[in-house]
Amino acid sequence: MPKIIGIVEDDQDQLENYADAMRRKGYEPRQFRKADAALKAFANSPPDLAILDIILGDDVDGGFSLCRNLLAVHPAMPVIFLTDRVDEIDRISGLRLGAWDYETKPISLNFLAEKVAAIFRIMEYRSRPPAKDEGLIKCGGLALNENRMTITWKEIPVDLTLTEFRIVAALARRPGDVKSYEALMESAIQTVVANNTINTHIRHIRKKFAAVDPEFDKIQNEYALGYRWAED
Amino acid sequence: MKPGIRARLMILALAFLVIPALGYYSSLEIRGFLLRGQQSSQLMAVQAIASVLRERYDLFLAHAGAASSKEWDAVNYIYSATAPIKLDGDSADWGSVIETGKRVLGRESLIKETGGGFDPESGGFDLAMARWGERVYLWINARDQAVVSQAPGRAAPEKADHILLTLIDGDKGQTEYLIPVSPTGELSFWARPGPGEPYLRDETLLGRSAIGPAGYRMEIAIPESRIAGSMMIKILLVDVDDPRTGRERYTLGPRDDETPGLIRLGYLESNSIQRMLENLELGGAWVMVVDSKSRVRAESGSLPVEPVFHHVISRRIMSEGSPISEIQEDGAGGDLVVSGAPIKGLERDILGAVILASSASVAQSMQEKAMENAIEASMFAFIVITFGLALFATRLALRIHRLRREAEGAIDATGRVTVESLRASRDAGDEIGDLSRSISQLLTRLRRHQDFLALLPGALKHEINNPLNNITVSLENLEAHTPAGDAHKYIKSAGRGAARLKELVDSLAEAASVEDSIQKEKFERVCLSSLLERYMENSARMDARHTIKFINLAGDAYIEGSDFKIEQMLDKLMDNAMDYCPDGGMIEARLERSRNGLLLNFSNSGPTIPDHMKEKIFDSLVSTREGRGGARPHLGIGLYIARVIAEGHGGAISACNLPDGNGTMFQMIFPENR
Repeated sequence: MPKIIGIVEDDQDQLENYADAMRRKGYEPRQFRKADAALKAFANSPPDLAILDIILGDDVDGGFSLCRNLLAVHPAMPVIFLTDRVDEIDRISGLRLGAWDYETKPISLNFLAEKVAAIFRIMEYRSRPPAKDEGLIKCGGLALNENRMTITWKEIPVDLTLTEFRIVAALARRPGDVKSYEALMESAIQTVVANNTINTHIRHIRKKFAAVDPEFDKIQNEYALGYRWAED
Repeated sequence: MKPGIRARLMILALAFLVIPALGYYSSLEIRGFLLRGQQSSQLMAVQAIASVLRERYDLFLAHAGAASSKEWDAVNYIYSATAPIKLDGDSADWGSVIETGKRVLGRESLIKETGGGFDPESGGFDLAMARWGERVYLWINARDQAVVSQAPGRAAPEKADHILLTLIDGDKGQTEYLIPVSPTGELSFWARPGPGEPYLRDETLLGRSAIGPAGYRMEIAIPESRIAGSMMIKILLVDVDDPRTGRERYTLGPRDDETPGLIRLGYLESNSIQRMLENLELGGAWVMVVDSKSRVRAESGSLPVEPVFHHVISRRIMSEGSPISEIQEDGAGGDLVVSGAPIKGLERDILGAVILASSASVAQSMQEKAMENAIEASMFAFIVITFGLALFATRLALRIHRLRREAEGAIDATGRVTVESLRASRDAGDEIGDLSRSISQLLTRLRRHQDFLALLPGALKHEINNPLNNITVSLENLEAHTPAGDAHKYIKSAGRGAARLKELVDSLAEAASVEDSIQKEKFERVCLSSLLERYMENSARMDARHTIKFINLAGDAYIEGSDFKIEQMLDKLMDNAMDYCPDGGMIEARLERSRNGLLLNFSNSGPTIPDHMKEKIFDSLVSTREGRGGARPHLGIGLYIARVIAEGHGGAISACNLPDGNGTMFQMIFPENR
């Protein structure tokens, strides 16, 4: 049975494109251009994953309120924001609402699909009882389950977005090795972005680790190149 | 440089110096006016005096019995003494009589010369006459180097120096007295009844003599009655040089008449005139009354300079017969106002003249005072006005200076409006206030425009991203639906175009937000030297085409900043260097300590920067590239971002060419955190 993906986007053309791409990847898209219609439909039959634009018609924060309402009813539903709003404050707002990821336009459909697949894979793993040592990376105080997208630092869980998680996973997989900006982009399933975008992700990651351990300094900048996870 | 407001106003203030000049001219007017007033009042005075004297024409006549007017010249005046005269041989009690009325007899008075020669230098005598009460007094001052006085006892009186005085008593005949110089001072009078007879003592007259080194003096009192009959006397001085023989050396006497020694006498009633003049109380004026022969009859007051002009004036008055007034120099640098009027007798004949002179010093001092006042007032006005103007100009200049400084500071080095409303002169109601408000308005409009420009890339990005996204995803779908073939080539091409568009929009947005983002950045202590070392090392590892190296002369060097932003800045510089540096070229970073902070020189070999671009190169959307057309767009944003980051760290960046002309160098300076 194909996974149902709810897509809420006020631009008809983009909506169609996303739907076509999802369908091509074997998913079953449900398209909506308005928040209230989407909320009504999702209340009865919730999708397996929702892709939300933030600006919906005249409601500039329509996607945010929709996300809040959906997660109130279906807390486990993965949500990805896909928006043209690039401001830091929007990104933070979206992620705080409980979204798995925050993607800015223009996006690559392939990457979007890849992310969706990754999320379903994680959901799949999470629904199963944990197998011993499956996809587990341990590195100093870090314990990271790639399959389940769980991460702990010194036994304390750290809440990361999908992109952030994948960056940390890429770094922690080979401690001491430099991961170039390009490699990190690839791991994070990002289109070609400026180094600055990676820097921003790193900053968020550091901040989240620092919240559980102010002494955290494992992610080191290799200026001009990228980053690396410091060896113990 | 042209003079400033203050200097110009000061020059204008010099115009106030015209006030003393005006004062000078008006003081000349005042002086003329005063002199005319003085002249007319003097004329009135002299005419009044002349009128009074006209009533007393008798005063101008000689004493009754005197010779007729044609013989006036020969009259010897007997002055009225002002105080009783004591017979003591001293002239002090004669008042001014001797000084004004004496007759000097010298060589022309030599009547007989028998002994040695008469020396006019040491010989001769002065004669003066005065009346007091019922007596007429004679004063004789004889000049004689060798006085021979009468020997004691009853020696012959003619064997001493003596005076021969003959009183002519009209019908009673005449008596000749011989008066020898007395060794005791008590004069003896000797008369002889007839010629050739011996001299006998006569006690009717009194007198005294005094002998001095230059001669002798005699005072003789004669009862007025003895001369009243004829108003004539005869007087001779006989000089004897040998008391033994009584030899006479010479005889002196007036020669008014054929008879030697005979003189006519006349009473000078000038005292009445004199008293009258003195009673007039003419203040500082000098008054003189002269008779028709220009002889002084009375004089009152004094002038600092002896009036030598009265002869000329009196003659003119008498020849013209009318009052005159003129201004003369007094010979001492001042001016005199001289006025005169004729005194006319009953038959309109001219009896004499009144001359009045007074110093024009009143007018002069008034003029000087006026001048002084004008100068003082104008200097005061000049100082006050100049001071006021200086104050005003200084304030004005200061306000303009303040306004200028604030206006200049309102726009920073990069041309951004930092202050929208100027405080300087904001509430002033004058033109400078208007200017300040205008500039504020201008700045506000500029700020709005600047804000619009700053928001533009963000807004543009937001608006472009949706259609761009549509294109991107549509192309992907199109590619998925299209069988492999030529069409894919075009789809890829369109995709690249869209990707480049995205980069472009991102760059613009990055440039627009860099300033904002650096302000939000939390700064911490960053080791610049190790950051640079890592950065250059990593860059060298990734790039084999160039020689990339880092030279650290500063050791461990820290700054306060953000390593992300410094990296971003280095990225921009490195991108720029890579674009220009030819293969095999050199890219070098060099860190050293300078007096002003940490100096980072980032240089690369390659083409130089044209001089006119060195400043502009750091501005947004400025590029020196000429369509090199690499894979990435060149908007001229990289160096702009580098500059904003450098300045955001309290530093500065500048560009120059390498001394050898084979490349460029970007020089940055950062404050060091020690």
